[in-house]
Amino acid sequence: MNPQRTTPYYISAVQRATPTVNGRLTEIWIEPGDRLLDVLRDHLGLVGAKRACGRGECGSCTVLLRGRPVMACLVLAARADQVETIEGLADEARPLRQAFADAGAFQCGFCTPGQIVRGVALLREGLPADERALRQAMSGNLCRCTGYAGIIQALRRAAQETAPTPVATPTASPEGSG
Amino acid sequence: MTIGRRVRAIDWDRRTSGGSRYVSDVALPGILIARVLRSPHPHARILAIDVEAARRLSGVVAVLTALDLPDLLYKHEGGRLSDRRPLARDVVRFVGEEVAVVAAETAAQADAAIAAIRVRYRPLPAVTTVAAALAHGAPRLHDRPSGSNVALHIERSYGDLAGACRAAVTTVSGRYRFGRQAHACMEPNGTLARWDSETGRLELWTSTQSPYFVREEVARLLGLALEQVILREVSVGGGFGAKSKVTDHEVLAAALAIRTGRPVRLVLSREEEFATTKCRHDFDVELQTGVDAEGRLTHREARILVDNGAYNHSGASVTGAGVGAMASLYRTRGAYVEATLVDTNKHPGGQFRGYGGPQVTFAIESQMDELAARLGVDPIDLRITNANRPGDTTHAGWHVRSGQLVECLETVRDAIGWREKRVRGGSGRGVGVAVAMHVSGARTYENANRADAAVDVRADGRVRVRFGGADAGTGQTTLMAQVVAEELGVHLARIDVVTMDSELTPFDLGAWSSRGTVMSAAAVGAAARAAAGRLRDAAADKLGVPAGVVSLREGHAVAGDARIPIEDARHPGVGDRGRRPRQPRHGGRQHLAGLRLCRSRGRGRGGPEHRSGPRPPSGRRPRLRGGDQPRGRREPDRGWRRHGAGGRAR
Repeated sequence: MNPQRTTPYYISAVQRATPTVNGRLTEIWIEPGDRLLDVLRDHLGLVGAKRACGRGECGSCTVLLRGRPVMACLVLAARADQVETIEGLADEARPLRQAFADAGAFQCGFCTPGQIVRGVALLREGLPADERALRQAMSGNLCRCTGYAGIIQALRRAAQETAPTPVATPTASPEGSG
Repeated sequence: MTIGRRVRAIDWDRRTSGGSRYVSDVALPGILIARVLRSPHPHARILAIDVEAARRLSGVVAVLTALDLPDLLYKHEGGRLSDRRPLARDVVRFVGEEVAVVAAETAAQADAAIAAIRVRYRPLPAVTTVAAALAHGAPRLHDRPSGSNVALHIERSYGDLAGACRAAVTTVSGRYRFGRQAHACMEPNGTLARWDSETGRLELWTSTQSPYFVREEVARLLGLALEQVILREVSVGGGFGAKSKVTDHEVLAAALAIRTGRPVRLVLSREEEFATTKCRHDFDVELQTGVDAEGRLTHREARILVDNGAYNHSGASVTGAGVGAMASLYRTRGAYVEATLVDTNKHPGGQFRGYGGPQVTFAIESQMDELAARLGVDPIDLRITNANRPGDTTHAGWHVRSGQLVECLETVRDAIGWREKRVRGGSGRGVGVAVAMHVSGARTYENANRADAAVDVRADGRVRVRFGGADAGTGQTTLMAQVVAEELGVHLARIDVVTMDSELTPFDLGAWSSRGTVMSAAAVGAAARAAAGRLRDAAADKLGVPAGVVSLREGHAVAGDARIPIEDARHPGVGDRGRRPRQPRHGGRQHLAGLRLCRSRGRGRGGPEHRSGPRPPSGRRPRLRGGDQPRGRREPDRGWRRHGAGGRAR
């Protein structure tokens, strides 16, 4: 019933890995089957990425791998070379985090680090102007509390604040897009 | 002024930066990982459990079965209807019921231990539907007074039913089913427990809406004194009612911590969340509504079958609340409601936001639309004609003191373009309106109408609020800070809120029955007013002015041109001189002695825009639109729009 129960038993083959985590070269000792999420949380104490579904369904563990958002529960630690987590992105994400607070884009906050991490990745490359495309881009991150309207609104606001040129604003009102 | 204004959550920085610590994130040295062995059978007798092989495995520190715990039942419904143990003892009654629990050094070792436990079951015939459970000769789950699988039967007649039926010129009948629903909190349920054998104290970090509820149950079930159990503050990743009472993991983690002397963390998997934790009760409602020649409702007759699942938990009170709502929404001259709570071999239902309301409301409101169609009247007009109004007492005895249902419906009608959109037709898209009625502050438990709070003005000028509830995402911490900011005239940024910690906070039964704001904020307000009074008095002494002229503004006590910071006005207190034990300096208590149900705003939930007909190819859920978002404050839990989306007519 627990996905972690399917962990195979293998002969211990601890190996050294030296990923760059939040800009710092880090030395970790891992086994071939170790997941990036577990290494981040249990070895490096970076608990901002949350352990929730454990199989890539909810997005609560989203981190950036070489700048691309991934679910850390689906990534082998051995393959992670350049990782950014919410802890490392919090400063860059400050405008987005403030926009989250102002737009009511979080409540319980459990999914929020993952939402912010994915949001940072989108903001770096420029938000899709199209409402549907933006929702599609965020669709891997589930939120049970807010109903998403606030999250989309916060992303737009943050994009306006950080982008040098105005970005297209959503046509639908925030309430109407819930 | 902070009340009525939109403010950032006071912990926004932490919550958005990964700094909040949930149960899984709390670091303690030497934590053991716990796993639960669950029943694979819907109904079976446990013949033997052999845990020896599991105990011998490497890394396994403890394996517990029911025989290792006191033989006590979870206390629900005030004890009368209690029927479930933390671990099954002789019989399992649903797939997923807890049979044994292990603690090991690693998750893999805990999983291996679970796999090594041998349980011999004798499968028993199971009933997995209400119909099967009610069939003649059906296998029984419990030894109920009814002599059947009926856990509770309620039959009520209200008003002049016979006269009302005679006055009806039109009646509509139908059957409405509202299926089970999972809370699906983003954070899986979990508890971290630590036992200190020297002091005999048990610390719990647990994902809950009601710390004091959990504390009492854990203490009782493990034979500890209340003072031995200490809850610690931790972030809570959503509740929606799931965590408003003790659930099924706290006692198990606590028992393992006591047995092992090590911290133990038990966090459920997503699969366990969906398959084994309590869900919303399934209601099957047969309903008939009558209307007279003027379009006024005459009567309502309802027969409700509630699927209890395998154990009682909140089944009886959810059913009772549903009966109350059925008899109360809209004015009728008479009503008859019969409700039967039926045991089945499925995981049990429990408390879930709305508490029986959504299920019956779905039936009532579906039928109101059918009735409007039959009469050829506008569905909103029909609702306005029959709306509960201030001054009404409903059949269930709910006295409506204030309520703007009519105004709400009129507002929604304009706001969603009801008239324009209704006439369009044929597009496959449409608008709909439904009304709900909800009560708060039910006094179904001892001390349910009590909340205590404390406010400390500290030496550095910061203000600390201490309340014993929790914030599962509904914003209580910010709400309490707003109340205190208002009363003490200090900026929100200077206010800290401590929740949950049973060494620091006074008694509060937590967030359930929509009581968090009504009860806890009232207690915090009382404490803050007491503190403000003392600050004004002390400042008046120091400034040599009458107390009446002192006001509290911007962190200062102000009288004319004279002003002193509040920290200089306060009495020397906690920690200042190291003399006084920690105690509430300015206590507040909200005790609503004579009130059975607290004030609740009459509020409609309007205007879901629904696509009818076949499911859209994209697989998206219908878009729902909130019609009456309160202005100037955060809607606690906007997820309600989803809560209502589970019903279906048949």
